[in-house]
Amino acid sequence: MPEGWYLVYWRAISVDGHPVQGVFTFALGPNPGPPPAFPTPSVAQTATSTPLLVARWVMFLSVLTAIGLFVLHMLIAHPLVRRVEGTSLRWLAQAFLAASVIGLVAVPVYVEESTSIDSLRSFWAVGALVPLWRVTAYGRAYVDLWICFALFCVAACIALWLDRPSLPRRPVAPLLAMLGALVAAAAVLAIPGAGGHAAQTSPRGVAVFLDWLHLVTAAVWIGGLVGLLVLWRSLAVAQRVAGLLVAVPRFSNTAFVSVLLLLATGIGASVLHLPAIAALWQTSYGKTILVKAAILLVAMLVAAVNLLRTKPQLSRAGVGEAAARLLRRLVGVEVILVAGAIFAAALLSSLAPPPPAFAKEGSALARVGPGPVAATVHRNGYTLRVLVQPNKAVQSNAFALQLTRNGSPVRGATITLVFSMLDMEMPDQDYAMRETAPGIYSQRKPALVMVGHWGLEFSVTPAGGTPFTAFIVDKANG
Amino acid sequence: MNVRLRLLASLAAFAAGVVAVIIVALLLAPLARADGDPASDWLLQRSLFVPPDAGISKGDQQALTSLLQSAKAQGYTLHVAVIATRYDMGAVTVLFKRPTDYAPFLSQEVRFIYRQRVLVVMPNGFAIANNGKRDPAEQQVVAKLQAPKPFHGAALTAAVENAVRKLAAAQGIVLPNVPVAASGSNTTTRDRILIGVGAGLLVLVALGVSYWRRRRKV
Repeated sequence: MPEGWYLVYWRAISVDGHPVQGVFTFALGPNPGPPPAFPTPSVAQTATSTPLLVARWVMFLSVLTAIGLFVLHMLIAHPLVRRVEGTSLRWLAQAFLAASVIGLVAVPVYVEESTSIDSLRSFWAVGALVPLWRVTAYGRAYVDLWICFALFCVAACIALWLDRPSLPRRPVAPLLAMLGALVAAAAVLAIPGAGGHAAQTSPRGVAVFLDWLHLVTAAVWIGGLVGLLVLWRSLAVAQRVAGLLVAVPRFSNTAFVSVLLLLATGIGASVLHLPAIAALWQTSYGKTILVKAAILLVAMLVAAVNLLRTKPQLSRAGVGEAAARLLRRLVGVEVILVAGAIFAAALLSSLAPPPPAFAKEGSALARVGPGPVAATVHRNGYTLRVLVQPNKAVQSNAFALQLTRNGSPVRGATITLVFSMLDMEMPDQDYAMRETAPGIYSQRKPALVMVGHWGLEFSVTPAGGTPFTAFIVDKANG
Repeated sequence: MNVRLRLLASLAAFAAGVVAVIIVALLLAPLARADGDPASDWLLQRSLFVPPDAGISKGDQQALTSLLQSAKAQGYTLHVAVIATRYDMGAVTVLFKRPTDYAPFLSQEVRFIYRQRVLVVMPNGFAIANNGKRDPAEQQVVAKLQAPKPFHGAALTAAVENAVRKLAAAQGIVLPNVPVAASGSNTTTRDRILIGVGAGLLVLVALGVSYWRRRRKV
C-alpha cells in the first residue's frame, strides 16, 4: 500500500445479532501528509428494517402462542372433558397446530431476512443466503431455535395424539410424551436469551435465566389467552358457561403467577441492561422498555377486571352467559395488548442496549458539539478550557486543554484524555496530553472514530495537587 | 391402539425433548466456557477469583478473602484475579501472560459495578488497575514482585498475600496476620456438583421405578 491516509468503512454482525458499522482512518508512512477531508459514509448503529421487525414479531408471537396453547391444553384445560360432558379439546389442538405451522415457517423466514440484511443481499437470493445462516453466532442460535421448535412440535403432536383427557388418570405414555414436549419447549425458550442481549450481559447466568423465565411466563399468558378465545368459540352455547367455569379459574391462577413473574423478570432484566436510570427516557432502548411496560400495564388492568369481576360472575345464576360474552371481549383486548407488547419486545431485541459508558453522562460538566468546541468548565478550584478542532468524526482532531487556577496557568500537570463512545459499546481510548505552552496541554488524534456522542474524560494530576477528573459529552458529526 | 406403538411414540417424544436440551446445552457451553473472561463475572460480587487449576485450597482462599476484607475495612479496597493458565482467560486468551494489559481490561469490564483496584496475578508477573485505568504509582509496587515458581498451591497463595500486603503498605496500611490454612483440601465445587447431579439422578430413577411398579399393581 502506498504512503498516505486511508479510510476504512467496516460492517459486522455483533454476537447478539446487531448489524453494526462504522468508519475509521489511518495513515501509512513517515510522511503521509495532512489528513484529507474524507467523504464520510452514512453510518447507523443498527440496520433493522421493518420487514425484519415484522418477521421477528410473527416468529416470537407464533412460537410463544404454540407453547402456551400446549400448556393450556395439557395442564390447565385438561379436566374440562371429564367435568363437562360432551366437550373436547380438539379445537385447542388445532389452534396449537396452526400456531406451530406459522412458527415453523416464521423462524426460517426471519433467519433468511436477517441474513439478507447482514450480508447486503436480496431476500430472494435463497441459494446464496442459506449457506450463510450458520455463519454468525446469532444465525446459529436461531437455526438451533428452529430445530428445537420442530422437535417440540413433534413431541407435542405425539403427546396430543396419545392424550386421553376423558381418563381419570394419565397413562405413562402420554405423561412421558408430555414431559418430552415440555422439556423441548423449555429448551426453545432458552435460545433467544442465549443468542441475544442476555448472553452478553453480566452476570451472564442470571441474565439468561431471567430472559428464559420472562419468555416462559409470556408464553403461558399469550397462549392461554388465545386458548380461552378458542375454547369460547368451540364450546356449544349450552356448555359454554360450565366449560369456562372449569378452565377460567385454573387459567386465572396460573396467569396471575405468570404475570407477577413476567413483571419481576422484566424489571430484573432492565436493571441488568440499563447502566443508568436516565437511559430509560434518553435512549431508544429505554423508551421501548417504557412503551412495552405501559402496554403490559394496560393488559394487566384488563386482566384484573377479568380476575376480580368477570370470573366470579361466571358462576352466578342468570348472568353467566353475559359474563362469558364480557370475558371473550376482554380476553380479546388482552390478546391484542399482549401481542403489542411482544411487538415492543421484538423491537427491543433489535436495538442495542446503551453501553456502560452511558452511566457517565449524568456526571458531564458540559455538552458540546457538533462543530468546533471552545467550552469552559470548573472543577476542584481549577478552570478548564476545552478546545476541539474541527470536532469531526473520522478525521484527525486537535484536542487542547487550558488549565488555570485563580487566573494563572497550571504547569507540569499530568493529563490523560480518555475517549468513551456513549452510543454503542466499544473499548475506551486513552492518550497522554503534552504541555505545549504554559498551562496548555494538547494532543492531535483521529480518536472520534465514528459519528455520535463521545465522552471526553480529562484525568488531571496537578504537580503536588490532588488528582481530579472532568467529564464532558461531545457530539461529533461527519 | 397398540400399547407398544404408544410406548415407542412416547419415547420418541421424550427423546425429542432430550435432543432439544442437548442442542441448547451445546449452544450455551461456549458461552459458559468463553464467559467473556470468567474473572470479570466473578469479581462483580466477590473480591477474589481463583481458578480450580491454581491449586489454592478452600482454606487459603478464605484466608486471602479475609485479608482483602481486612484491607477494605481499613480503606484499601482491592479485588484479586489469579490467572494460572490460558484456559482461565475464557474468550480473551490473547491477553494471557500480559498482566499489564489484562488488568485495565478486566477493571473496565467490572467497573459498571466495581470501581476500585483490580490486581491481576499471572505466571509472568503482577499488574494493577484502578477504575478501568492503569495506576503507574501502584504498578511500581507490584512490578518488583516475582511470580512464584511453581505457580501453584501454597507458593501462589503466599505470593498473592505478599502482593496485597505490599500494596496496602505503600498506602501506609498494615494488614493483620490472617491464619492461612494448610493446602490439600480436595473437595472442589465441581465434585460437589457431580455428587449432587448423581444423587438427583438416582432419586429420579428410584421415583420412576416406584411409580412404574405402583401402576403395574393397579
